Amino acid sequence: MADLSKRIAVLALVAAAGCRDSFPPIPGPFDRFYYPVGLAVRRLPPSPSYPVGRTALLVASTNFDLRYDYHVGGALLAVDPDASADALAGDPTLAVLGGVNIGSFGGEVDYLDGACAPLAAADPFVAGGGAKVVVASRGEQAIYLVDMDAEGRLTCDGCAQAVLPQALDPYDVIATCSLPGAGDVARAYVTHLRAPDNVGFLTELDLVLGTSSALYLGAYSTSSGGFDRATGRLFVSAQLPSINLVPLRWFNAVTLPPGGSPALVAHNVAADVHGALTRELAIYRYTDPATQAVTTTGYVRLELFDYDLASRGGGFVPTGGGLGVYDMNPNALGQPLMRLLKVVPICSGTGHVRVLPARQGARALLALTCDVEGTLQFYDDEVGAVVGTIGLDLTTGTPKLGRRPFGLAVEERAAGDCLPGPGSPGPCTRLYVSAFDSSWVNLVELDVAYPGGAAIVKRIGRERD
Amino acid sequence: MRRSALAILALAGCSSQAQPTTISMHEPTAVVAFMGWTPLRPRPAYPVPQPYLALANARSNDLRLVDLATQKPLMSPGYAFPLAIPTLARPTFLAATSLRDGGADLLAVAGLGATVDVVGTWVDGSDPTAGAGPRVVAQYDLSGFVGAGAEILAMIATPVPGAPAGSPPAAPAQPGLAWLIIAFSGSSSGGLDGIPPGVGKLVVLAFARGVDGSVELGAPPEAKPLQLDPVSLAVAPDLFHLYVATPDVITDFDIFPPAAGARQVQGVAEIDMSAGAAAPWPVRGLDARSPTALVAAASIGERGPDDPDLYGPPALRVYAALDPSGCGALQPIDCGIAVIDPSRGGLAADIAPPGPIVPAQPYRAPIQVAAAPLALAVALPSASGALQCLADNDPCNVPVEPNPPSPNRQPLMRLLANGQRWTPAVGAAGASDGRTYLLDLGRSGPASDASLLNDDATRAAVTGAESFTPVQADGSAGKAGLGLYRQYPPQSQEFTTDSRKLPQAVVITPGFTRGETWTLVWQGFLPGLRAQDFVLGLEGADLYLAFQTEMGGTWDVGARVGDPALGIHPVDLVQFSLPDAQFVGEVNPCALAEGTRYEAVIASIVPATDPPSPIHPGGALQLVLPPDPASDPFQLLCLRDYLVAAAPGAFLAGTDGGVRTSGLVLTGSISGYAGRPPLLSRDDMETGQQASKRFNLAWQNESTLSGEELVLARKARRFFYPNDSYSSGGANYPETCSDPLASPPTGCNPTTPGVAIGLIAGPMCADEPPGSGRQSICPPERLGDLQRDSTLIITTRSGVSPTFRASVPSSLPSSAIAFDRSYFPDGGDSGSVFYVTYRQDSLLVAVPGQTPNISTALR
Repeated sequence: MADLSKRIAVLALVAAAGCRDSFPPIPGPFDRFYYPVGLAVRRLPPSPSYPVGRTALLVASTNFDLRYDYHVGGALLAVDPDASADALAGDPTLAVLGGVNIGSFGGEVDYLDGACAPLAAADPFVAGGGAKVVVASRGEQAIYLVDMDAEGRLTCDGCAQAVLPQALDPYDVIATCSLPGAGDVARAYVTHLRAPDNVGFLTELDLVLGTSSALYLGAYSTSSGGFDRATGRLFVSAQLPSINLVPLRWFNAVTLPPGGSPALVAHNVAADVHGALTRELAIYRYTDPATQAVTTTGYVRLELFDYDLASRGGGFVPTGGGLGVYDMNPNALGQPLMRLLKVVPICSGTGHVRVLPARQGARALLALTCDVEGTLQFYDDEVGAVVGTIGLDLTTGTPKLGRRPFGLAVEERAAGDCLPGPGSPGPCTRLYVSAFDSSWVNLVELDVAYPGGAAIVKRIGRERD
Repeated sequence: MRRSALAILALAGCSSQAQPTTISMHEPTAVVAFMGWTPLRPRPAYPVPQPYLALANARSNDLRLVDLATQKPLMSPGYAFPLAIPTLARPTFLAATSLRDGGADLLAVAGLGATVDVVGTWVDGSDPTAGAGPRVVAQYDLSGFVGAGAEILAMIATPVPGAPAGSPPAAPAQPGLAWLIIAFSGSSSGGLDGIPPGVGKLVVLAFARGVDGSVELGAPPEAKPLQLDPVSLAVAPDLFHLYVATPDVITDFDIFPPAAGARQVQGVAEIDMSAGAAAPWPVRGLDARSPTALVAAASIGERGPDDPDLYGPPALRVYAALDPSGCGALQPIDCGIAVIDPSRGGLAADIAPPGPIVPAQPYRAPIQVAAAPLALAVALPSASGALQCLADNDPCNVPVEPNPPSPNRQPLMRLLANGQRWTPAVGAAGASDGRTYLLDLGRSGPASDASLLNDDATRAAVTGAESFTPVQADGSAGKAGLGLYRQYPPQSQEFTTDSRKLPQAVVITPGFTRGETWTLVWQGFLPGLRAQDFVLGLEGADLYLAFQTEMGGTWDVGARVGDPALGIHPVDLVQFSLPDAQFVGEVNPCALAEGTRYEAVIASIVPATDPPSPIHPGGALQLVLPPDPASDPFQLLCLRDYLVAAAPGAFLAGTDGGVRTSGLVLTGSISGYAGRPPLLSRDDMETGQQASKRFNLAWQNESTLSGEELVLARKARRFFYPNDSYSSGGANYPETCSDPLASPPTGCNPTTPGVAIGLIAGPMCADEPPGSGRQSICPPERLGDLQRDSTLIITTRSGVSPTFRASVPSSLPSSAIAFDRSYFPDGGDSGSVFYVTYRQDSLLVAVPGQTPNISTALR
């Protein structure tokens, strides 16, 4: 009997050792995107090889199905979209500039580089053409502060920072930088989708001081953020509000002292739109060509639900997407008016909203993605309507952008830098649209004067197996 | 044998699924009714065209047809799925009209861009060469004609008007002809239409009946410049006026371009189409005081000022949803559905007579909608059936005999809202909260499910009032609090703090008083002016306080102190504290006792200037400096001396600056700053002059007001016309009576305008006279017993509970039309109904004349 026990123990030891040897952690791949979520685009500084610089597209792969290791299965990649092969032509090879592994379930990506003067003044690495890239992992409950050099290489030497234990699910990243002559602030804020008792947290990374702190935002966990550099205000939406109180909170992130408590102001979106969850916010300033009057407009991404059902305890039944257009001119107290101007029906599902480059004398043109509907839409506030859609293929019924288009980044391209299509010869606006489920990134180009003509001009990355 | 059984089972299965009732909607964006022939009801079995609905599916790029007789979809030839008519991408607009010749209607569809499809409403399969069923028979790409970048914003179809005649003039339809009118935004480059870039326009496509019964384009397109973006269209019942909603300024002209200095308004553009498609179309602006987003038109009679159930003769009215960019409490008009009377060139006249305190408005209050309107339609009474009525006052309940016939006789329709009501027309506003609100257009208001006047459980009322007195600094009970003087009825006049009696001491007016919580505070903080970032600085020899924050080398401006919306007055108090870190060596040489904050009286308000002051761009409050240190308990002179001694431009900053009023301040939870009631005195009580201290938040003619008076007047606008009569006098609202002090009040009319809130407030002292153990109004020498922040909280209820119908689950409405279901022999129980498309794949059938459960959602 004793012998048997010993044999079992030995076998168990061997088996355990064997397990370790047979299943080494498999990091997320660098040769492909894998369930990408966050996108950001950066123009690298000129170099001898690239006299006018080159584009680096930052993509956060999430390892959503945990095919790779939980702890290092995510990846932050920097790729050159122009040097990458065109998957539409059958070649999904990526021109990878750099990559670092991160935890699974990564979120959004943002960065600050030499365009942020306070950071360039404080950090020689940034002054030399580098950038600080921030991405979060919900799997690891960590935030990564990644160095990106002038060539697009990424390094993370112990750059992962654990967040406050109560602040769960770090997700959205908002880089803030004060305007020249308006302070010395360069910070990144990270939202937390969950927290005990559904309280709101932001993690603040002060990139000048190198410090990290948690900001308490009262009730309701935080979802997405938007920074208005002109006023220094950081706007934060609520992930899980109540049906009658959907706060859009903001504070001045430039006047906030390091480690200080934010002076919060909030607007209850539920008072304007019954049955709406708020997500991303985009802000645009329009100068009337005739009067030179400047108006500030906010575009709040709404996920609509049936209010009457919810108020009767029927849960949140989704009822489509909306874009809340808000008058954000200052009121007598200097705060945004937050007067609802209209609710624009948009495609269904979650996704990003981005303001496209300004058009002469015209109100904002926005692009937004909808994962459920598989659509990229263009909303023209000058016309007051959705003026362009890239959605399902009319013949096959498949989404042209791939399954679940989500991530969205915008780049202005100079004349000659646009691919054959509606934007050529340029200048044009290029959108990078990642398809979460298909795991590729589409390049969409357009002339902002004719958004209805936007077209997919290239695709990079390998379709997920 | 087995094969036979399987075949039988399969057939049985097929037959059981042969009549699916789901329409297979995929983001329906538009709905329109049309008359035509289809394979379901083809010729010659049906010699006249039959009514159908067409629904545009934006997500699947097709149309679905619904048989209006059964409200079921037309089936595809395979008979397993609903018929889908493929169209251009993302169909968004639908338009249909009769050609008034007994044939099939024109049906057109448009989407993004500048292309229009025409659907063959006559293709029923009876002519095999024409096709098996409805399909797109023609496509018109207008992009080259209208220029690059021009987008379709709206579309409507109409019979072609002949020469107008009669009084008021109306145009007969020209048989066999129809116009499709397409509204375009301006182009970024000129098109073949010859209209300059950036100019919004209408494009008219003229159609005529073909020899084979088809509808064919009969002439080249005609473009009509408007110099505005037309976002919604409606044709008047007179057939020759077209109404256009627009967010832009409307400039009048007969021939484009408008003359310099031409009249400009914001509202709805009225276009005269009587000269024909080839002639210029004159434009006249109808002033709605605001840009507009949606428009509808109808000819109806409206109630008069005295009787909500007696209607005047029918007249043309235009209904326009005001664009929130130009309406609201800060704007010249509140938001809602504006009622426009073209004969006045703008908003319809007020319904109400002038009141003793509040005059009649120069325009009719917009019909309030509880959320942003996204779709708008008007239903007229059905042609027959139980929900239609031809009698007058209190119709269908009063025998026509012996009452003499009334000259203003007109059809009425039943509307179920707070009982059975009869009205000449009902509006439907599909709103951003997913509800379709029903509007009682005969009474110019939202239909309400609750009694505004006569049911104590629901009527406009003061539902509670309570006085709160803060404890004194030593923790003992306060010695005085706020009370109200009750004016009505005369036998109950008294000054009281009793929470059971206080509600009766507050005067309200139905239609003016909103559901709100009001806070009356003695020397309280002005709304928003508390715990604000501020700086204290010197300008010349004067000490000033400005609400601003240093942001690097610039200022982030907080309160713009000169803005009348804030309600700051000279003689108000600023209150603040200063952290030690603001002083050299982090030692405050002017420190106050622990827990004490600095206070100073405001000497004057320095408003923001253009260009802005470099030191206080949002304006500043100049502070009164005491004459000497002996009368300076708050060390203001010390602070001034400190700043004088500091470097030029030095300032002290803090984060808890605020402004307290010198007396009472009233704040509404929705209205915000609502004014400053005077304080009732013992002398007023003893001389019977209580009414002299009456405070009214009351609307006045805005054209004569400015500054704070204008701000407050706009907060006291009418938002609803009472749609009932008093069931027993007007005792609940005595000031709507010509003699409010009579017992009971006489001459009462619930539409009489009045105050949003009125009260007489004063200080109630405990143990007054001292030793009596009773309470009474404070004598002058005891006014100091009334502590700061003594508060009286009042809650009011508007009494309005808007009637709505909704699809379940709901989503954003996209379009709405009205249809008279009494067209069908069994449709009389529904009468006139609304079909409202919802983007999450449903079609609401809203039946105004039946209880909400009768309204159904088709999917």
